[in-house]
Amino acid sequence: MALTRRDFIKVVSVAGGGLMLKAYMPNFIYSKNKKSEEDFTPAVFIKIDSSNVVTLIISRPEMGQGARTAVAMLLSEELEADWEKIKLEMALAHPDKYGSMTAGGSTTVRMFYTILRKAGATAKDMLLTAAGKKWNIDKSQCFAKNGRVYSASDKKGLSFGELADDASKLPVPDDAPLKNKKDFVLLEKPVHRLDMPEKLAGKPVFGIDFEMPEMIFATVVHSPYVGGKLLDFDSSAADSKLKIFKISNGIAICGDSTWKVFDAKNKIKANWENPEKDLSSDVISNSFKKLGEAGGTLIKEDGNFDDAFKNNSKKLEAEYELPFLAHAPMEAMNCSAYFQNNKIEVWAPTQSPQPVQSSLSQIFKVPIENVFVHSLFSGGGFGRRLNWDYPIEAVEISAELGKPVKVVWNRPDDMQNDFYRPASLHKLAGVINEKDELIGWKHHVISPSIRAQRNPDTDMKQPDAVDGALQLQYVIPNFRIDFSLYKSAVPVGAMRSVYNSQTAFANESFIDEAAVLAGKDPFEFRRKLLPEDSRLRKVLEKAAEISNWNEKLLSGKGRGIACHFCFGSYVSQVVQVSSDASGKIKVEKVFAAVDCGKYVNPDGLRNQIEGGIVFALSAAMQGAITVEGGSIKQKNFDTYEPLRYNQTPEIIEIAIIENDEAPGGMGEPCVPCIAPALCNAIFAATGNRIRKLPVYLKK
Amino acid sequence: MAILNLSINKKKYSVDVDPSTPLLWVIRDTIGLKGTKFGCGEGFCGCCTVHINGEAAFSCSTAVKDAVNKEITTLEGMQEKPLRKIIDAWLEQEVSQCGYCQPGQIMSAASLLLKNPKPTDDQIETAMTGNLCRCGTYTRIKKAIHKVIAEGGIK
Repeated sequence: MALTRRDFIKVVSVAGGGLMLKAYMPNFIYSKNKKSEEDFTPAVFIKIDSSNVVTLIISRPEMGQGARTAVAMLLSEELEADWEKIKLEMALAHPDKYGSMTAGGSTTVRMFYTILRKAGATAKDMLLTAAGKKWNIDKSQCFAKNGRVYSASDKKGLSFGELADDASKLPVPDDAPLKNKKDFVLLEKPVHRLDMPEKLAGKPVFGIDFEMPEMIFATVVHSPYVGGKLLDFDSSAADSKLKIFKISNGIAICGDSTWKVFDAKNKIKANWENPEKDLSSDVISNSFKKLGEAGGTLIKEDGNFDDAFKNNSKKLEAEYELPFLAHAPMEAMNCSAYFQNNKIEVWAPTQSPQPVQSSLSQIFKVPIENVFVHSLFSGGGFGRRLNWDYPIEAVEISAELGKPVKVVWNRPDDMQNDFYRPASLHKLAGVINEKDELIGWKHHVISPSIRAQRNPDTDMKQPDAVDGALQLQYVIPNFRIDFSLYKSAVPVGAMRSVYNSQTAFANESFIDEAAVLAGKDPFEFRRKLLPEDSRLRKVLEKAAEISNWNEKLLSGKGRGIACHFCFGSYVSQVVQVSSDASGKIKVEKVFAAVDCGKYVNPDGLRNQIEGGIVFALSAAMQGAITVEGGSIKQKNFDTYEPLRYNQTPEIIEIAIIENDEAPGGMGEPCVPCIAPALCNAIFAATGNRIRKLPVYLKK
Repeated sequence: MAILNLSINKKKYSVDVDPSTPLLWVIRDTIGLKGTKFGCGEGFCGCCTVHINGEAAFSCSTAVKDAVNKEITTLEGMQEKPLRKIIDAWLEQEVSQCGYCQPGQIMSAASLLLKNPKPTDDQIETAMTGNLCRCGTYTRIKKAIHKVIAEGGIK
C-alpha cells in the first residue's frame, strides 16, 4: 500500500456510530516487507463510542513490561481523554492489520510514541471542530479536558461520546498540533499501571488462569535429551481414566485436573533416542576453543588491527566465556486451544501472536482467517514466549480430543525445553601505544546463531551474534570483528538484550583490563575513548558522579563500571561489591545512569531498570544452564536460582538523562552492563579477574 | 477420592478429590480461585503461598488432607481492609511488573505482619526469602512492606 504522509490517519465507519480512527505508521525494523519510506502499515485503532467509552485496540501483548499503560498514556495525553475511563482491548492476531504485534526488541514505546500522539491529537481536533459547529464558534475557542469539550462560555460542555458521531463525518486534519511538553498531564509523569488492580485482586487474567466449559487439562512429557525423539512408551501404571497418547513433541497426558496429569508423568515409562549423548558443557566449551583457534570470518575492519598488533609492544589478549541461560518466567509455558470444524482458537500468553497464528495455519492446514489467537497476560516473558512451540502442542492435543484443552508444563519441562540464551566464547585482543592510548581492538565472537538455527540458509556474513560487538562506541583506529558459528544442538533463542548480554560482558571486561595495562583509571580510560558529544559518554560521566567514583573505598570493597549502547538507549552502571574473609562476594550497591531519549512513564522506566539489574545479576552471579550426557541438567529453581530478596543489592540511585531525543528501549538496555560492572568490581576488590560466567556455578 | 471439607477465606467448601492432591490445585482447579499461582511445584519459589491458620505455607507442597479443618486464606481473602492495606501499598508503590509472583509475595508479607506488626529488616528478609520474583521487584517489595508498617500494619 502506498500512502503519503497526508493521509496516514483515516476514519473507519463503525457499526453503532461513534468515531473510529485508523492510524498508519511507516514500516519499522521488524517489518518484512519494507520497501520504501512510502510504505505504511496500519497500526493503531481508536474508537470513541456514543456512550463515551474511549477504546484503544492494542496490538502488543503485556508480559510485565508496562506496554499497555504506556500506549494508553500516549493516546490519552493528546486526546485529553478521561484517564479513568479509557478501555484497552487486546487485538486478535492478524497478519497485517496492525503491523508487527511482537512484544520484543524493546520496540513498543519506540514504535508507537509518535503515531499514538498524532492519532490522539487528530481525534481531539475533530471533536473540537464538531463542538465548534454545534456552538457556532471556531474550534480554537473550544478545549478538551477529561473526556469532554468545553468553550469559554460553556462550563458544562459536551462529552466526547456526544460529539463522536458528528466528528466522524468531518475531514481528517493532517496538521493537528501536538501538545507542548510543559502542558503534559500524563506523559513523563509517574502513572499507575492499568493492569495491576485486577492482577492483585486474583482475577483470572493470566494465560494459565484461562478456562472454558468442557475444557480438558493436559500436560506433555518431553524428551529428557536435547533433540531426542520418542521411541516407545508404557503408560500402564498411570490412572486408566487419563487419555495418554503420542504427539509430535512427546507424550500428551489429558485428564480433569492439572494435578492428575502432572502426577501421571512419573508413572509413564518412555524410551527416547539420545542423539547427542556425548554432548556436555565441557564438550561445547572445547568446541568453542577449537573454533577460536581456527580463526573466524572477518565481519568488519577499520584500519589494520594485525599491523597495529605487530608494531606495538603493549598489548593484551583475553577470552571470556558465558553459559546458556534459561528464561524461566514465573508462569511456566501454557496454552489453551480449541480446534473444531476447520477453525482454531487459542488463548496464549505469548509475545508473538502473528507467528503463532501463521504457524498454526500452516501446520494444521487451516486458513489463516480461521485461526484466532487471543493474547493473554504473561507472567514474564523475557523472550521465551517469542516461540510458538507450546501453542502447537495445545492445538495438536485439542485436535486429537475434539475438545478444548489447557496444556500446562511443569517447571522441569519449562526449564529443560527452553530456547536458551546462547553460550558463547569471546576472544579479544587489544593494542596500546606509547601514549597509553588504546589503538587496536579485535573481538572474535564464537557463538551459536539464533537466526541460523531457525534458518540454515541465513547469510552468515552479517551474523546476528555480533550484535553489540559491532556497535562498540569507543573510537579505536584499528578495529576488527571476526565471527565463528558454533552449530548448537541445544536450542537457542532471544533472551532479554539478546546478544548484548554476551558481547557487552566481553567488551566492558576487556576495556577494564586494557585500562589496567595502560595504568589508567577505568572510568577515565573509557571516557577518553568516547567523543565529547557522545550520549554514552554523558551517561558514563553521570554514573561516575552518582556513585562517587573517585571516593576511596575500604579495603575488601571495590567498584566496577561499564557502559553500553543497545536498542536505542545508552546505559552506564556501577556495581559495588565487598569480599569477606573467605573471599565470598556480596553485591552491596548498584548505580545506573540512563539516556533513553524521550520516555513515557518514568516510574515504569525505573521499575524496568531496577528489575533489569536483578535479572542481570542473577545470571552473572549464579545463572547457568549446563549440559551433561545430552541432557539439560537444571530442572528447577534449586539449581537454576534467580536472586532472592536477601541477595538483592541496594539500588542507590538511578539517574535519567533528560533530553528530546527519539525514544529508546528500556526492557533490554538495562541488562548488558551489569555482568561486566560486577566482574570489574570484583577485580577492584580482590584482584581476581573473572572471565567465565557465572561467578558462582551451582553444582 | 474422598469428600473433604475446607474453609477458604472464611467460606466452606466440600470437595471430592484425592486426599494427596496438593492444596494448590484444589484451590485453582477444583474451587476455581486463580489468585494463587503455580510456579515450581516443589516449594522453591513461593508463587503458591497461602496462609494455613495464619502461617504462610507453600500450597504446592501441602497435601489437601493436611489443610482440612484449618482456616485457609488466599489472595482473594486479602481484598478487604485492614488486610487490603498490603495490596494498596503494592499498588501505590507500583511494585509489580508481570505481577505473577506478587500474590505469593503479598501472602508471605501478610503472614509476617499479622504475627509481628513491627518486624526488623532481618525478620522481613527471613520472611520474604522463600518468594522468587523473576522480574526482580524486591527493592519495591521492601518499600511497600515498610509503608504498611509505617501506616500501622494490617490488624
